[in-house]
Amino acid sequence: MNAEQLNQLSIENLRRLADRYDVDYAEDSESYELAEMVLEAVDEARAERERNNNHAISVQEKKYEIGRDNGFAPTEEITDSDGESFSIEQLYAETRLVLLLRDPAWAYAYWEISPADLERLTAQPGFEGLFLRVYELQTGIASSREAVGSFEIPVQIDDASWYINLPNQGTYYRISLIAVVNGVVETLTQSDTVVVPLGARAIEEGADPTSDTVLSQSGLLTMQVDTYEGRVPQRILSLIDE
Amino acid sequence: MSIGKLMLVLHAHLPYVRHPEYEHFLEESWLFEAISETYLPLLRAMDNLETDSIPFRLCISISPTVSAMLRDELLQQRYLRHVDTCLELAEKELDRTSSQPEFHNLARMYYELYSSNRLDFEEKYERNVLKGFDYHAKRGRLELITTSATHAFLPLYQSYPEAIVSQIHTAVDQHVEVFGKAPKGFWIPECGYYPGLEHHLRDAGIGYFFTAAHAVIFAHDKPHFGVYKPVSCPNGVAVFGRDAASANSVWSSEEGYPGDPNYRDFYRDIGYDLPLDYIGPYIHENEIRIPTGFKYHAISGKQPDKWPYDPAAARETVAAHAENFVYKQRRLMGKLGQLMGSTPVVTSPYDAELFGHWWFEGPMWLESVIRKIHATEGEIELVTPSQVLKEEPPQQTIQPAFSSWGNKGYSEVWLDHTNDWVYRHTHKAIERMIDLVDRYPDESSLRGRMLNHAAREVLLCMSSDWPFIMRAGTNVSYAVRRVKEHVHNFTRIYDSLSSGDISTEWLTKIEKRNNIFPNLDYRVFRRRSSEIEQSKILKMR
Repeated sequence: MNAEQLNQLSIENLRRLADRYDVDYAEDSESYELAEMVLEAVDEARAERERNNNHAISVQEKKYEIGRDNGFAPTEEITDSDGESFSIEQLYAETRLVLLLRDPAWAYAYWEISPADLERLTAQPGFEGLFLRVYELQTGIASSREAVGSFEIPVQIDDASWYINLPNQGTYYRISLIAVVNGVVETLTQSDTVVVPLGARAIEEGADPTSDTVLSQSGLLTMQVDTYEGRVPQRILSLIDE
Repeated sequence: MSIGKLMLVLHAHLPYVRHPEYEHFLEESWLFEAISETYLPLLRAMDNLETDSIPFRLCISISPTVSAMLRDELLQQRYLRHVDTCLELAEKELDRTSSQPEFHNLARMYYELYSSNRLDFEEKYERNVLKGFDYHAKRGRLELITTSATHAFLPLYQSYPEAIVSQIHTAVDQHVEVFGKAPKGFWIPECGYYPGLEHHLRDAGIGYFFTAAHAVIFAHDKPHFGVYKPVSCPNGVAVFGRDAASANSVWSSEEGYPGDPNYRDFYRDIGYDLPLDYIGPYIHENEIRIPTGFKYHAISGKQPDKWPYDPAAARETVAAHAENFVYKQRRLMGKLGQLMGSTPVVTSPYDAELFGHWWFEGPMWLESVIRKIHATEGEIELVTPSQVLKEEPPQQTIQPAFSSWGNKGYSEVWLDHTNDWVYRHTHKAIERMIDLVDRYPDESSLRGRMLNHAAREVLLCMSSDWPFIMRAGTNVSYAVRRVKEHVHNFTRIYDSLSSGDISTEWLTKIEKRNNIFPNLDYRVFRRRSSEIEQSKILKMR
């Protein structure tokens, strides 16, 4: 949290912190130099985060102001008071793919290939690689074969997650994890379908001047909400009460 | 004659932090600070209004984790210990500042604050602060509602209706146990809404919930009155959209009231300022400096030298800000009334801990706003959600849109590179919990205890607070520890049930440690027809 705390850390821990914050340091950097660089990086990261925070999130962060590390706990072991380690499985030995919608333009996918599938694929000399196929669907219950469009994202065998930019809003997406063996594609698993909202007003401007004016009072511009496709009508913007 | 209805909604929430395995545990201070700086001062403000016969109506959401902690004997004892430590420091501060009048008065202010806190906590509320909220609720001044059991950010769990149902029903059950009646409304954590959530809310007897403004404004059907009238979901559950415009003047630290130079500075604290040999006993072990709650400076503008806090100047500023808030409400409502041809309903929700903890003068401001609204002689009417729905049921049905009140309005805060790893594990724990109910549909005795505790651990790992803290970067190791702890505990039970290797000693230990929801029945995770649930959601847009 501050220089005093950083100066109490060992050089190994300072290096670990420096790595965490992408600090570019020389191998022979002294502790005090590392501490200064880390402090600067942390301050920058914090300032960046605070710039991105809206009011609700800024206030909420203050609840957790008291903490043992405030971001500096490079060596704290994840154990309970009896020394029991809270180890968890990193993977679950199954082939699965999950798609989570983050906002109208981005989704997050995580996946896993079971050891058996992985062994089967990699044992084949013709194994060419993996990709994610992103399907845009016309309805939420449509199958991938009824997709209105799709695109592919090559992934490596060690990858396990990906943020996917969604080109369209007000639609549906589903993804598949696909292996290519000897030029033939094999769908390993597919995700559930996610509903992507418009992320903007659905109705064209001008249809109802009264409600447009009421809307202009609703804090449309101060909502700090990303809108997509520039759908906030000029007519409404012109009505915002200064 | 009323020109508008103002609905003030406070959401009180902290994650479940209780560590009996440690004699002192730093993060338990989150609760102690909230009791000292927010919950007791808010209750004091309500008592003052009652004493002066000023009527008021507020809606307060008290999260199940906060309720559970406030009722927990161990945490009650530890709060008393915390207050006693604060009082000891206050006495030392009275001595230390005896030759500095501007600080001495503040030391006295803190001495009086902590003395009142101790008295109210120990004697008035018999260690259970919830009694204070219940008191005002029973007199019709407060409408108490709940939120999801461990404050899970629900849109990221929408593929698991079992988890959504568990979060909602567990919360409702606990609310009934604590307050003796079912909640009519529900605070969806972080205003995190996805289409279809209302089905689960209705099934739990919930009649309304709150959303971010764009849930309503970006809905597929145009809301005729924006966020200024409640609307109805297609299944009949009512929605109140947040009025961002009126909220910003209170939330913003820069343009809003809390950033006024006369108000107490949040950051400057004697825990950082005074020599270690003096302040050492009142900060964290190993001489790690933390805030003590003793803050002697005003915000003072942007200059490096802050001036001493002046409570009288702050009180004057509170009165001016309360006046300004009421003036803005009156102006907004007047304009809206003309446009709408009927009385607008302005919904202003806030994090309860904003009042007092971050904005020290917040409870005083709230009291002052209520007094000034009373002085309008009915021009502005303070209302509760149920009162609004009774007087004027929603006239329009819309399907709200996916949204939250987080940055940029969606899930970014709870799903980014700092915290996305969490969901692989929490989702798996949920899937396994559902499998366990399939495999053991009717267990009691030891296996029943294991299953109930497994469900408890799943709920705990879903808290939105852990990914939130990871992103905030302020206490990452603790948040990581908590996710791993709960997933680990759950997995150990899951494996034990398969292998038959059950350690009752270990089970008893973690039951005592993570003792939230003692009456939880693991069957709340019973498998739902997810295809039907999913198809309901996918048909909406």
